[in-house]
Amino acid sequence: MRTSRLTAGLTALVALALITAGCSSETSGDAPSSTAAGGGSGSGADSGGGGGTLRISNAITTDPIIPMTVDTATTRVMDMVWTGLVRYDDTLTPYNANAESIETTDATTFTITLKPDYTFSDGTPVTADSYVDAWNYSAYGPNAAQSSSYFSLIEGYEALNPAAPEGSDTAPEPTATTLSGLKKLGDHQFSVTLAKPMASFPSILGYSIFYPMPTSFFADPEAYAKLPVGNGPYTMTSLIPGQEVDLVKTVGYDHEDAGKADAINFISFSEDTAAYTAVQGDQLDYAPVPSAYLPTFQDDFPNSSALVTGTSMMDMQIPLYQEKYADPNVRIALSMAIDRESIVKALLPGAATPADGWVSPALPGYQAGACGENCSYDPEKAKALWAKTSFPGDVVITTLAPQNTLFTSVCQSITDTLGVACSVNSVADRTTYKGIAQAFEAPGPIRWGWAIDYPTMENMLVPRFTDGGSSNWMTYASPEFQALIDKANAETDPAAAATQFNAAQAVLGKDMPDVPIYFQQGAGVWSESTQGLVLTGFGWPDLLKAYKTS
Amino acid sequence: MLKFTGRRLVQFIPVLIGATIICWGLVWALPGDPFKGRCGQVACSAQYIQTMTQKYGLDKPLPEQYLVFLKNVFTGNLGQTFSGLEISDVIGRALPVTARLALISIVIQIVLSAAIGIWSGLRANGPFDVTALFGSLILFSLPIFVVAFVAQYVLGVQLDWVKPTVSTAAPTRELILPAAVLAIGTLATLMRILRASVAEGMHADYLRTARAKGFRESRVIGVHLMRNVMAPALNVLGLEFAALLGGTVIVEGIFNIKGIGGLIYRAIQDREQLTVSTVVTLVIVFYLVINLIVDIACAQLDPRSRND
Repeated sequence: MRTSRLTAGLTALVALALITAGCSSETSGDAPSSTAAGGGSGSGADSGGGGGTLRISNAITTDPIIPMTVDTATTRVMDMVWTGLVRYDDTLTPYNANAESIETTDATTFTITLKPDYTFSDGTPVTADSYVDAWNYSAYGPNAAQSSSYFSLIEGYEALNPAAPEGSDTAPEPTATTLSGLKKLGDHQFSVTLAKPMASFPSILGYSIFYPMPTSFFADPEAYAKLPVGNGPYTMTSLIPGQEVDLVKTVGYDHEDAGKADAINFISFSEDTAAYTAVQGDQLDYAPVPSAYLPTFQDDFPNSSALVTGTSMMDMQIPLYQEKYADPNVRIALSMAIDRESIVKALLPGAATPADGWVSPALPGYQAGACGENCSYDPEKAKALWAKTSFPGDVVITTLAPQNTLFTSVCQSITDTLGVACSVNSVADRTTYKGIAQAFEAPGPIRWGWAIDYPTMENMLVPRFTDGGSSNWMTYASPEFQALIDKANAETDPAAAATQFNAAQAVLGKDMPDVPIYFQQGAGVWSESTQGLVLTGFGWPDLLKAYKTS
Repeated sequence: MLKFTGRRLVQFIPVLIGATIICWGLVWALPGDPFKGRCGQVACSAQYIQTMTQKYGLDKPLPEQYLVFLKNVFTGNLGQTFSGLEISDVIGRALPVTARLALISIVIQIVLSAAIGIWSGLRANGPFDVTALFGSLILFSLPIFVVAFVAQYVLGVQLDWVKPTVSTAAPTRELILPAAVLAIGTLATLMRILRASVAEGMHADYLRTARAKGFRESRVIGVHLMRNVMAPALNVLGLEFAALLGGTVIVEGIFNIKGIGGLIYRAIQDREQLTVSTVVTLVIVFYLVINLIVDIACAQLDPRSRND
């Protein structure tokens, strides 16, 4: 009988395990429905067109997939579930989608007319209110929308987001709930008055923060976020926050931007390498290329991979608030001391190009060498400049752990050229790293990549380099730069505006508040059975054109 | 036995409170504002930061926040993450996956280590034992992520025997490979422990006595020897099972398993104090309970270890 006591102890252990595992049966109510191919056979319901189900790697966060959320991966889902006023084609050129027309005479007030035949997938029509209410909601401070600061473009933002008075850190109640710059003119027409002229405003309206919202959202935002409803070519059928979003083609969506695939499943991968392997194992249809595979991905996927000029860049913001870096000669010398060509060739073969400015080559209006000679490697000049400065101590570059290798090479380059000691302060997590920049406590240059929100030159220059810009952690403020930006923004002719933006870049080249390092290329691989997939300048496939052959 | 268990259960309370206070303090001490960095690459508006800070009570003094957390845990309301999800839902999704993974891994460990370890011990220094020793040394020295990558690539991509990554629903068959990879590290330890105690026990007096009594060899080995061999292995197994329930960030990442490890990792990154503390509390409870069960089982096996 003694043995039974021994087994009793063991069974207790196993029983506990089973109990913990048993919890699963109660909580599995939100398991993906049968529409989710979730690693299944992959081919969805065949609707005659043979569109199939695309399984796409996409690192969605747990934040709600609604226009108030600012997150690249979430935006990629929204672009399928919504149709904004404009969409971007494969060359990043905007075209009118939900908008019939967007008209202006002064680059400040825009009259937007909607196409009348758009509906949300719950059947309610898309009207001017769908836009006006959504924008007002996002802009209103107490609603705590991540996208809020973007709406400062529009007149009346301050009234919705009063700043805290001097000496207090509590902001007063807003004095208004709606933006004075938004006016409904009719069921399908409204006007937008901007705080400052911005001729490229129509081009930014394809960004997901400007998408319309149905009435069900305003009635109960939390319930709505459980399975958001949009007006786009695809409709959400299941959503497991941070894990998987499944979409099917919207029934009766009859517009030029209709999708080809029957269904799209976005599956979140915490590691890019796992996603890449999943495509190799035919468990996934698209994955971005992790940097470790850049040298070999074209051999792994000879017929189903692509590399495009991307629109994101890597750079270092220099803390102008640190005495050491106040002298522009110090910053220019650092920039000229970096052998971008060799670093890119060694670390990102074929996946990046040395940056010659702050606007990506993929954008309309790009001009080679906009920065001037200060962004090119010139050890002699760098040494001569450095000799003129009195730089105390050494250079400490703050970076995020994944870019350790890159910035160690940048450091090496600086030390080799200037003879100054340089070290990398690597931060393991995003929050700490962002905290250092945002508290203006960077001891030296800090890595600060930039990916465009929408394809305009303005988006690569204004948030980072204007005084008070939403991503200006250098405390850079230049009236000369600002004047050129203002001129460019007021210029309705795109070519003339580009000239002004490039002149503004030359000012940056002279002041060098930020050292550009490289422009990122977008690289992706897809499964053999995926057809029609095109990578765009966003470094992301145009999923409306892709489909599966079974 | 009851008194012993009761006393241990009472001891849980200070341990849990101490651990949560430490965990709470550590997350709180991390630099960076949890809300400032939540707007992608641009700055969040001041109103956003203020509203969120008030909504989640992060403007209150730390002790008060902690007490609210304790109250919540005891009333079963775990609160929400900064994304507005119920923490209980988030854990409810991740824990079953991790629990099944841990369970499969433990079963693999028990079956393999018992078979190999006991066999080696019974035939100590024989050819099988020597091979097993080399095998376990190799297993022990392999970095787990290398094994994971190689297994994933060879079995999942080249041979196409298994799916290379685990899908969202995480069916059991997809968890077998990652569970086997997780088993490798402890497998070697367990094998060696079992082998050593079996080999030692084979020459022990009590075994000679048992044989002298005329018991059948199967009973001598199966009952008399095993009772003495079990205890150390059980301790290792218990700790390993608890560790697995605490999640495994690296293996989860490689096989894209949406479990507890990745959940804690991301929660720490995002300064999700409530989520971190809740999950850590849960993991500590697992440790304590499993530890207690192991102690009770060992007391059953070996009367000498009963201390009451």
